[in-house]
Amino acid sequence: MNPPIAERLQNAVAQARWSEAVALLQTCDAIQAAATLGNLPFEQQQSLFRRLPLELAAVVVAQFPYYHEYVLLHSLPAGKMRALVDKLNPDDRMRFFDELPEEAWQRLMDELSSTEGDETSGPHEPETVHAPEEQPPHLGEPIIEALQIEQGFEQPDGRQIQVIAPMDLSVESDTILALLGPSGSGKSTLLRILSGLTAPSRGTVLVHGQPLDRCAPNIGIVFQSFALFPWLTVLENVELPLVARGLAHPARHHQALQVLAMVGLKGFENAYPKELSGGMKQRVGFARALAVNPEVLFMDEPFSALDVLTAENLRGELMELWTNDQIPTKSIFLVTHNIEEAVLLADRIVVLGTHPAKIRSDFRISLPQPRDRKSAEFLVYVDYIYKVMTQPEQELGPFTKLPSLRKPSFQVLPHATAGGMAGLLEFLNDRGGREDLYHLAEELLMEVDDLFPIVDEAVMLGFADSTQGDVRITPAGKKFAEADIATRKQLFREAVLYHVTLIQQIRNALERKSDRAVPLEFFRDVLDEHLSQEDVQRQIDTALNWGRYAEIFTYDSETDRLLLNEASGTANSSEAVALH
Amino acid sequence: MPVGATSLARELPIVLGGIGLFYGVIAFARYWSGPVSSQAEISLHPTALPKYALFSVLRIAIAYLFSFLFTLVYGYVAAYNRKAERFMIPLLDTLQSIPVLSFLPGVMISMAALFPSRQVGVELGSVLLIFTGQVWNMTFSFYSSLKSIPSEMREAALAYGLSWWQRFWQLELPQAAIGLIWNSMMSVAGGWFFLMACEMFVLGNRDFRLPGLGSYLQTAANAGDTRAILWGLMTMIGVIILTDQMVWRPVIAWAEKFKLEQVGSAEIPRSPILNLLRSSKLLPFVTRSLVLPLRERLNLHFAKERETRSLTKGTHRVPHWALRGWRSWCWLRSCTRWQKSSQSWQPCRQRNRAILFGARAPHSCG
Repeated sequence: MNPPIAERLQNAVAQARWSEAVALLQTCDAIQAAATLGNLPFEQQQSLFRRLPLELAAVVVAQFPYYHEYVLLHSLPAGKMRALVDKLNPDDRMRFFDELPEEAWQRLMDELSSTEGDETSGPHEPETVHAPEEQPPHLGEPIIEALQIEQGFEQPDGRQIQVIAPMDLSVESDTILALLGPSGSGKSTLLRILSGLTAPSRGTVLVHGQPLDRCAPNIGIVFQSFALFPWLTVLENVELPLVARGLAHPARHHQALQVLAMVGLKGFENAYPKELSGGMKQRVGFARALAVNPEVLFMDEPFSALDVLTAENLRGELMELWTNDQIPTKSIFLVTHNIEEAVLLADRIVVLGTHPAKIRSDFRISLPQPRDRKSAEFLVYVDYIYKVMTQPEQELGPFTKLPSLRKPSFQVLPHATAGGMAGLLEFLNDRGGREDLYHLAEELLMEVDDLFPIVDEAVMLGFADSTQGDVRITPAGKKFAEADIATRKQLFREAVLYHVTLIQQIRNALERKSDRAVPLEFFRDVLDEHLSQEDVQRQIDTALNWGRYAEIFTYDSETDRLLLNEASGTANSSEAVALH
Repeated sequence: MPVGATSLARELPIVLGGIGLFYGVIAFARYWSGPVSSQAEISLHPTALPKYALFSVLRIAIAYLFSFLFTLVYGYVAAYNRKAERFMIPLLDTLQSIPVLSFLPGVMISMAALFPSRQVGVELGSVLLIFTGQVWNMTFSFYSSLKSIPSEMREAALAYGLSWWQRFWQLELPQAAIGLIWNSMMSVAGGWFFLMACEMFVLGNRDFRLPGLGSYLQTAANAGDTRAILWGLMTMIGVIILTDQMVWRPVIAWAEKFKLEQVGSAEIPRSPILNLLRSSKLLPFVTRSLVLPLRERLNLHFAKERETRSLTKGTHRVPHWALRGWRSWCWLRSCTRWQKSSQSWQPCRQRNRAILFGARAPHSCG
């Protein structure tokens, strides 16, 4: 990333010199532009994005991870969003739709196909022109930085078990950071290292640039099990850190009362913790943490021990205090295993992997507070986190694309026959295995669009690869092209049974019937759920063509039934299917 | 005015109790600093019983106080000093298995030599013997309570920068309170158990006899006076019941607040004495004017001292002066022994160490 460009861009955006910013972005390549844009605060990102010309926007937005892409797209008015989606590279568009979770995709489709096209239905542009002296909030300086920290425990037999792999983590100001991870992933250990309660086996922790030994950070900690002292009253519990700081009685009494009123426990000063409910006990925990006006507030699964409603209540109150600047805390570090809670509260999420703990993903959430749990953007983020947490052992950079976990319940079979694919593969083999699609189409005097289904079929069955406009034959495809008809059928059969869901389904259904016959209507109904009428028919035709070629099943048009082709049975192979 | 009269009636027992306690302490101190009379005449008459009972109770109380202080220091050091813990706990285990009477010669000789001309010496010897029967279980209880403080509370204390002093009074001691109370009851019972042996015994050619319930009972048993034995036993039982009602019950009721429970229990122990103390206006007044300002001053002093130290260092270390003080006292004792017996340094140091920990004292040196 080119620092001068990034800085100039930030300056330009800060002073609302949009045309200059757009020009700057056009000078970089796509990835650089995306990275530079991504580092801006979100409101500025949105404003700048809205002013980008469509081509540039289409290229830039495709570089972002899908959750960010989704949010950016929604910052545009409806008509412009539609235009932009049309302008996207088909590959990128396909990938984007593929990665989106079902609900978000559904909503996006609805929005794209709505016929209103009203320009005013999009979000209104806030005309925020920053006055030169009013600095927009920048991405906070780090308050606590952990450099290459590592934690290991010694086993009784002398072996060292590494609990936390060397990692860097920093707690920045004006950010709520959520540390997500499965249980046992060392997130509580990380919290204790960052807050200075434990020393790491290796590595240093800096507080405002100074090592931890010399400067203890001004922190508050809220624990999962409240950690109140049961023999002290609520007021005495809250005053505890104030006494430790050396505050005299009148001052600390006043401060404690103030903080208790802020968390809503006015009137409970002389109660003992055992007289309080769980939610109130955690409020006392919060009051005690906030009484010293901490710089960083550490929370170790604070809402896990509470019931759902109380937790929701407390979360809301905490966010109110944070967004209204009622607490002088500059940063919040939250450890949780609840994904929704993290997305609801945090500005920045770090996902940990286990054994040993390492950072799997570190990204920002660009949604304004208060966040709506049901909104599509929220779901997109939650979906992304689920994907990260269920993808083991993968290094995830900021722009790594993740394959969709949503296995489609049907595949759309390209409308091409087995014979057509055979022809294509022979052609490719003749040409040395690689050919540009457009050249191929020209030479065959065909439209490229006509060639596409055949190429798709070859790709789907693993006989060819398609990259950037070129078609390349795979070793399996080469074998197919050079084989005789019987071997071809064999290879085709294997490929189809491996790759094509619909034919697998048909064969499974046939095998499970005692008479090895199923009415075709059954599969028409299945496909009807997902496709239009004519599409269903085309799919059925294609499936029949492939199934017959591969000698997996046959079709009796009189009874409208599919019949399983027994492996040994050759009765049906005499029905030579006309290849065209 | 009726209200005034009842409130005064409530304060009266407390005031009288306070005065009585004060007088008792003065009288006992005078007796102890009097000339030595290790061979007191034990009268078997029942009227002597109250005085003997009081003496015994006071001896047990003082021994308990010594045990309590020893517990706090030893348990604290053992719990927080890894290196010390490795030998301190096995040592404790060894010492508690040694019968009280084995300590007898060593303790008596050293005490008598320390205070040859005053009553204090002999009395102190007796008190220390009772101490050796009381202290071990309390120390173990305190040590184990310190080790079982919930880690989150410990972390809260660390994160909020509680000074050592504040931590001791507001986390460690309250955590250990319930254990200490029940073990105290057991220790005091142990004191009664060994009373007879600790107040009247023969050592070499000297015959030690101290006025107290134990020697009364032993004398009565030697003389075969059944009535005297019965009187003595009844007195002892009476004193024990009185202690239970006036001391232990209120303390147990008060210690309810130290229970580590999340919800208040339905059945809590009650004590009328505690209620009397709680409803008094005098005690809170005294607390507010004397105890609280003192505590405040100490808290703030330690808080300021703590500010100069960092977070991860200097935590859970035994305060410098406590450890040093204990070590220097050992050294001082061995120095005194060396001067007194004017024998070679090395073996005497060993012997003094043995005497200090109450093992059977070797009679030869060098």
